[in-house]
Amino acid sequence: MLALAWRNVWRNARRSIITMTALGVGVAGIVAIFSYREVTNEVIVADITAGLVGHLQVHALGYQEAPAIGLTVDDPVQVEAALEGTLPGAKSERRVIGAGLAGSGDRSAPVMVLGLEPGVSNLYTLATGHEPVAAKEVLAGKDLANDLGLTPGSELVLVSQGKDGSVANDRYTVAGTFTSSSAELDGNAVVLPLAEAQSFFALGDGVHQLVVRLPDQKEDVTPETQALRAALDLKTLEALSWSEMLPQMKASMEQKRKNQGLVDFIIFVIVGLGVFNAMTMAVFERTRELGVLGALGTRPRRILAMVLLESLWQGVLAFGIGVAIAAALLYGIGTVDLSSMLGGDVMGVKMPTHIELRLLPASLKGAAITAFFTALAGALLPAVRAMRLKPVEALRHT
Amino acid sequence: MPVVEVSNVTRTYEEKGMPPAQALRGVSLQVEKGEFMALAGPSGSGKTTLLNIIGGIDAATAGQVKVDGRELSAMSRNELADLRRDRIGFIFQAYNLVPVLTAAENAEYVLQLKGVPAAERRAKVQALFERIGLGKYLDSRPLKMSGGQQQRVAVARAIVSEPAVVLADEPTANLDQKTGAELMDLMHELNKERGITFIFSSHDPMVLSRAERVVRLVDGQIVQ
Amino acid sequence: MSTPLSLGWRNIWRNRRRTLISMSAIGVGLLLIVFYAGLVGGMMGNATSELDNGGLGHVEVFAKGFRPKREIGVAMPAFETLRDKLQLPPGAESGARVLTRGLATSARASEGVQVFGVDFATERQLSAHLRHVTQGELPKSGDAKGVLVGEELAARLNVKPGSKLRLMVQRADGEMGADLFRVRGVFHSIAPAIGQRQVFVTEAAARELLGLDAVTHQLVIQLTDPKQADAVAASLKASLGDGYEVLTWGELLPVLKKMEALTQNVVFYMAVFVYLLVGLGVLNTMLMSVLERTREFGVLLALGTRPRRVIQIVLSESFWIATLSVVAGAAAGALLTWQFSKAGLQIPGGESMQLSGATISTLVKTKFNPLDVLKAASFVYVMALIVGLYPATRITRLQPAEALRRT
Repeated sequence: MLALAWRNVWRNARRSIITMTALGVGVAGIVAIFSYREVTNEVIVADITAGLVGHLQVHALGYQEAPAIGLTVDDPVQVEAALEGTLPGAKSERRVIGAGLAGSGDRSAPVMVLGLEPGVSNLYTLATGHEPVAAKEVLAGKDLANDLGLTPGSELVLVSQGKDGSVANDRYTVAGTFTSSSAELDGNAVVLPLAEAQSFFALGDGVHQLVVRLPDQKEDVTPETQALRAALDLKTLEALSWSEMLPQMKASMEQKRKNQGLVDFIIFVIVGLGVFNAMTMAVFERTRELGVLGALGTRPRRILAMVLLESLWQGVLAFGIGVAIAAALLYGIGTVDLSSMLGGDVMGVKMPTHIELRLLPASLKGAAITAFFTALAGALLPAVRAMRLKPVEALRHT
Repeated sequence: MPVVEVSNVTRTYEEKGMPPAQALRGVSLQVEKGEFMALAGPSGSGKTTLLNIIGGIDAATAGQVKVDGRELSAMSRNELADLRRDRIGFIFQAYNLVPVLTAAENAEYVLQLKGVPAAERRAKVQALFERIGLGKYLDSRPLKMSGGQQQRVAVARAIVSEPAVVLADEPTANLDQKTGAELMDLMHELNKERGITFIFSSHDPMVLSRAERVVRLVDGQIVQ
Repeated sequence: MSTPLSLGWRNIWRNRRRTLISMSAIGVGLLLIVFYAGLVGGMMGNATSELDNGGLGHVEVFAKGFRPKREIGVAMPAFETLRDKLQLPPGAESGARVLTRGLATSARASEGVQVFGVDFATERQLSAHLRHVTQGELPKSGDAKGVLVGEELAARLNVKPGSKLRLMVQRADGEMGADLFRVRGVFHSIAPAIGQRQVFVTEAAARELLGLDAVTHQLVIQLTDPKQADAVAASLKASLGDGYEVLTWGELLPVLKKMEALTQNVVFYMAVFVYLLVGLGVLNTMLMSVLERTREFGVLLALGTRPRRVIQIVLSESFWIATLSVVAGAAAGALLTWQFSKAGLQIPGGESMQLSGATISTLVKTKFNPLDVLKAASFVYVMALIVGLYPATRITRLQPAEALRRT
């Protein structure tokens, strides 16, 4: 019966090819849109998790909602031990974050003071100068350095409020400047070696953030976050995944995924109408023949299946065609240069400038399902009509 | 001068994967104005092919065909179309009429192609319909009319532009004997009244018996 | 009458269901495109007309040399002096600000902030967030120690109306200056970044804090029609002269300008995709409908109809289908867009979107643009032409006798 349905597809080759092309274009659209979006998401998430936010973070309880200089993780060692226990292979980084005023000569600006572990943090890339080595050496964001007229060797005064409420005030030398994936850091941040920052703010051994990076890159880190939570004292600490810390970004990503469903549906409706028309004609032309089959003793269910299979065959072929078209499109375009289009940041995160397009296997599922249901739904009514034909009347047809 | 002059016409069909078939082999024929003649023969004898070639809706593979003094092989598609519009009328066995046009609109179709103003078209068609007994059916849809009535509308359409020759391919094949005979008699009357040449193709003895001249074809050739 | 146009019209109703299905497919496609274009156009329109979401101006004026370092010493005369020189179109809002960056400190924490010294009466028109005070109220004019902060900042610093807030800045003479303020009110902005960063005090209070005379740093002008910006900027450049820098929103927010072009492109490609799908479906239908009438067309040819006229008949069929679909689809699209142009369509995912400094509200008031309908309609007609030509030429290529042979 499969073979019969297959041959029936080719009886009116031109009509079948047009129908399959339509379905194929629809499939290609679904696959291409999905792949483009998810490849972009991958790059964004990789950016976020590699640098600024990590996969998850541990703070003192309440820090994420209302950060304060005094809200620290007092025993980072204990947290790191818990981390080893629950998420082996994960790397963690300690950070101190505060706000202050930085002055050089007669210029000053409010700044973010970051205490980072030398050699461990990859939050920034050195632009000029060298990493802090001697005592009292710091790095400044490139745009901040511009604003204040800083170069390697310049003197920088930092003023802020320490943990105990006292005034924090010290004089440093700029060892170099850096760039990062965040426009804010470039324009506002001064980076100190961690120990130096802890002493500046009078934090002792405390840190504000423990930034965790998992060994395998993934987007959904909820299981890992929950595992870690189980090992921590939640009366004093909190553990948050990157998506909990950047809910707007996450929400936007999820919304775009939901929109895919809408696209699939639209394609389903438009192409489905075409399939309906084509199959209606196909059945009509063979009315007499179907009458003959019925007279010979073919069960109605078998006739129904015959027509449906004819459409499904077209769906299968169209799926193949569609994937081929999508692949040609994605790999043909190759790399997308976003910098000319957007050039800047979205919601505080610098957009990746180049995205290398690939066809993602995950895209095929949605496309296959849409193709299947479109072929099925479009052919359903004609197939039922074919099934209901009374042989006697059908034979009278030309 | 004869209305139709066929000289040594051959028509060969080439279809992919099959040997060429000769529908007509060296056929010659002359038809004078006012004749009421039939092409007779079994199916496959080439009578329909000959009729089509005379009417300019098929092209001869070899030979000459002159209708109303004009050599068809020298004419372009548009010229042939215009010749059919002005000088030739067609009646087919079935499915003559355009279903979405009324009987009157079907009949006046060729006049409209020629650009005859609406009032004049209507007048001519009305007069003709009265003559053939369909006066009440001017604005009827073909699907509401019987087979015989539809064929009569086809006849009206064929002669309304006063053509030189009317070609009818098995016009009675889908009608019962009585209706078919009435149709033939009507056409014969019009032929006598207006001097319009009629050429039929048929294998129906009823039709052949009413023709004034019968030309027989067998296997693409005229036989005596 | 059997003109091609009239025959075409009658022919499409012979198979009513098939015709209606084709029209639905085309109409739905048109509806989608018109609505999507309206959505995107609305978003862009909102972004450029509702700059008060971010407190930005269609035209902004600075003292020459103020940007990009923003040194408070490089300043313009007070607003009152400048106001007469501005010849603004009717409906325009304008105001001046004293600007600086500073550190805001509360008992709990410190945060870097942008300090705006403003006239609250005019600033209310320029910044939407000042119209959404959720706690307390705006500082009154003459209030030397009142400050307005955003919700996010209030949460971080743990302050509310009545709390003390210390603002530390670098003064004009180079020394550090600080003063104690009281929070008078808390505002809500659809952009969290604004709620976290911007604090507002009176002009006088800002000048006092910075040790400045009666000067301003930024002149903000918002117009009723963003397109007027270039003309207004040109006239300001002329009347203000050399000591000033006059910029339009296009120069201040180049990304926004780029977005306009980008979104047009996106709508175009979407239209191509949708109409490819629709076109293929309608092609099949047209093919079937024409080919099954091969014999009938053969009769018309036999009667003396020129081949071109037969093509005209078929093209008029696709023309009628296209026209009816366009009318229906455009009407539906216009209705839908009009519906959402009043209330706005809430795009899920936060209250706003930040794009390189521009704040775009996610409550989109769709904009119906008749030009979009025209563009989409022309797509439809081109498609109809192709879809009609192919089957028609297949028939007219045949000898009439061949066409007659087909059942």
